[in-house]
Amino acid sequence: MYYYIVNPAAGGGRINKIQERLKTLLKQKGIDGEFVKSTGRGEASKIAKVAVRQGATTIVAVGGDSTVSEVINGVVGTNKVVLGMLPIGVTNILARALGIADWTQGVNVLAQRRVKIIDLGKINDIFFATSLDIGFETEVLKDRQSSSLWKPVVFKKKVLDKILSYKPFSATIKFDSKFSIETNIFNLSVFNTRLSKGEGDFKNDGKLTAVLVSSQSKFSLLKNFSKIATANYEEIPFVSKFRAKKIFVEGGKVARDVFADAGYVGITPIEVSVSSKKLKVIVSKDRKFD
Amino acid sequence: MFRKKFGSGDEIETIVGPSVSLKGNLRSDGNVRLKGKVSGDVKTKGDVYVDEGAEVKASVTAQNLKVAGTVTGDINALGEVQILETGRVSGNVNSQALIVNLGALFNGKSTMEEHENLLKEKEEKAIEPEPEVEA
Repeated sequence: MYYYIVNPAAGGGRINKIQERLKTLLKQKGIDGEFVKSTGRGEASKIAKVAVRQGATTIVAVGGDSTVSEVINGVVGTNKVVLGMLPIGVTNILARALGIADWTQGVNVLAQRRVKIIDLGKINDIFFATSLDIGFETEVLKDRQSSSLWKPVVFKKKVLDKILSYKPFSATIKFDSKFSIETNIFNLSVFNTRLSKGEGDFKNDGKLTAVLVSSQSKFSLLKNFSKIATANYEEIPFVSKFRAKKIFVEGGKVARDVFADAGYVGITPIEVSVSSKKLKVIVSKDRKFD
Repeated sequence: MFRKKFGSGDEIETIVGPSVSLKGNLRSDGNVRLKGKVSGDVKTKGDVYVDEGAEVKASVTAQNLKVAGTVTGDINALGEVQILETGRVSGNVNSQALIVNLGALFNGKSTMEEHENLLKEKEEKAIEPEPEVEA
């Protein structure tokens, strides 16, 4: 049976507008099921755990990245459960990474039911499926999540202001205890996917990809504005890239916020690694997997 | 050999950016591009490109190597080593081929016999019969 965990606050309450149409479509496709609404932060994870105990085998996160992240952390370690998603949030990074652009496509993807197993990253006891961010991107994500009604032009203006005002910080990053780097971080993203977020095909090789943008002149950063605004850091000419199973980040004297799957998960110093636990997900047939 | 130009389609697995200092043993399965400071030891199954401005104080083992920056340390390449006009290499080079461009600096010894032995070993391994596996 399909078990739908809905975040009613996602995308500025978008579920209220689409609920009837969504249920009709699911019924037409023969994949309707139980709908449960979360009532606050962390609730989706608890609901998912209860659903697993009750024997649910397909759990679908209906919401944005935070909803998906919570459901992942609720079902991780249970081999029988398959995770699906219907993206209705502001940022839908994992859904896009799995080839699901919007909720209507998500319904078709659910109905086709192409199941893949993906690696998960781990920070302390929190699991993530796409990326972890420290630095500039966390500031952008904070603003994005505090205002779901941003228009693109307003968003770009905000990013521009942030580039001009953001202060990079010195950090030491260790990779698999084999080598370390010292640099001033503008942004560090650690991907569970092979390439940048949203575009990356999943590479299940047990390694993470760290994409680091070190401190540069404001001029250099502004020259790469469009890449920064779209979080396409890997395309920036002065980027660094490393692959490792375990990455330790020490962010100097001041603790820095750490986001994973676009949600806050803690502060530096942190250790991120590839978990031995995997996740079964329903993905678009267009998405490549290794 | 460098079949394609670096950064023009070949996937680069590891990049040490221009504002980064790396210490330790860098290991990679793919192509590596060094633009910053590196000290220790670099080993990869792919190619290595040392950019102009990069300072590498490390021994480097790779398939092929191109040097436009500075390398202080021994180089072992299964294929070709090319020191470009801005390149500076202080160390011994062990490779199948060595190209030193006009204007480049190379202070060290170049040897090639090791790789003949490596190739022989490879050929011998290639004709070894597969071990039988019990069902």
